[in-house]
Amino acid sequence: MNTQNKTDREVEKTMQSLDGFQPAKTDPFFYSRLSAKLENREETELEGSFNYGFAFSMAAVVVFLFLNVISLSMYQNIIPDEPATEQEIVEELTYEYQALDLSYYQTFEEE
Amino acid sequence: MQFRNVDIKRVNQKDIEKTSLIERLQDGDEAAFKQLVNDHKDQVYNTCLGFLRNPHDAEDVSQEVFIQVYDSINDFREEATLSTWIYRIAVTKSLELIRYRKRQKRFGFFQALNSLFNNPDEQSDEESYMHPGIKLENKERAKILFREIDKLTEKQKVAFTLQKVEGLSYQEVADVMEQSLSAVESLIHRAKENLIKQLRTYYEQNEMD
Repeated sequence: MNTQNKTDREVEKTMQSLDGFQPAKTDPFFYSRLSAKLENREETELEGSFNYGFAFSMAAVVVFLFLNVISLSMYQNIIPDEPATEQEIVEELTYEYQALDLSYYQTFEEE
Repeated sequence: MQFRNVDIKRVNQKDIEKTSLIERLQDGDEAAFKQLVNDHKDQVYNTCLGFLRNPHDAEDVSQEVFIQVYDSINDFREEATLSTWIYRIAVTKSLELIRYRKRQKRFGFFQALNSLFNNPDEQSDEESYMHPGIKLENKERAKILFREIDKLTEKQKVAFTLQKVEGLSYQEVADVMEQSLSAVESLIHRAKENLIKQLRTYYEQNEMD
C-alpha cells in the first residue's frame, strides 16, 4: 500500500514537472542567419538554373550535330560515284517509261 | 461600455495591421518579413524545441519554417490566423525531422558506422539536452516525462506538447491540428492517461531494481 502511494506521488510530481515552464528565447542573430540562408539559397537556385540552361542548350547542339552527321552520311551512300551523262539519263528515262517501245504497234500491223 | 468600445477599436486596429502585414508580405516587402520573423521567432523556436529537444535542430527547423512562410505566403488564404498557420508549419516540419531520424535509426549498421566518423558529443546531444525553461529542481523528472511523451502516438504527442509545453488553449490546439475541439480534448485526456500508466510502470520497475 505504501509502495503504491509512493509510486502515485512520484507519477504526480513528474506529471507536474512542466508546470511553470518558461519559454526559451532565440538569439539576437536569428534573423541575420535566416536572411543569409535565404540569400544563399537564391544564389544557388540561380546558379542551378543557369547550369541547367547551359547543359540543356549544349545537349541540344550535340543532338543537332549528330543528326546532321547521320543524314550527311546516309545521303552520300545514295549518290552514285560518277555523274551520269545526258545520253545515259535519256536512255534510262526511255527504258523506265518505255516511251519508244514500238513493238506493240508492229505486232498489231502484222496481224 | 466605454472600455468595451476601446477594446473593439484595439481589436479592429490589430486586424487591420495583420491584414496589412500579410499584404506587404505577399508583395515581397523585406521589412514586413523581418517584422513577421521577429514577432514569431520565439514561438516557432519553442514549438520546434518542444518536439525536437535539441537547440541546433530547433534553430534549423525554425529557419526552414520561415523559409516556407516566405515561399508560400501567397497561398495563405486567411482561413486560419497567421499565427496558427505558422504553428502548423512548425509542427509539420518538426515531425518530418523526427520521422526522418527514426528512419535513419532503422539502419542501425549505417548509424553505427556514421558515429565512428562523427563527434560522439553530437550523438548524445538529444539525450542530455534539457529545455532551458524547466526549473532546475524539475529537470530530472522532466527528462523522464519527455522520454515517456516520445512513446505516445503522434497525434497524442502533438496535442499534449502544444497544450502542456506551448501553453496553447484547447481551441488553439484544435485549430493548429485541424481537428474538432472534442477530438483534441479526447486526445489530451488519453495522452495523460497513457503517461500516468507509463510513468507508473517506470517507477515500479525502478523501485524493483
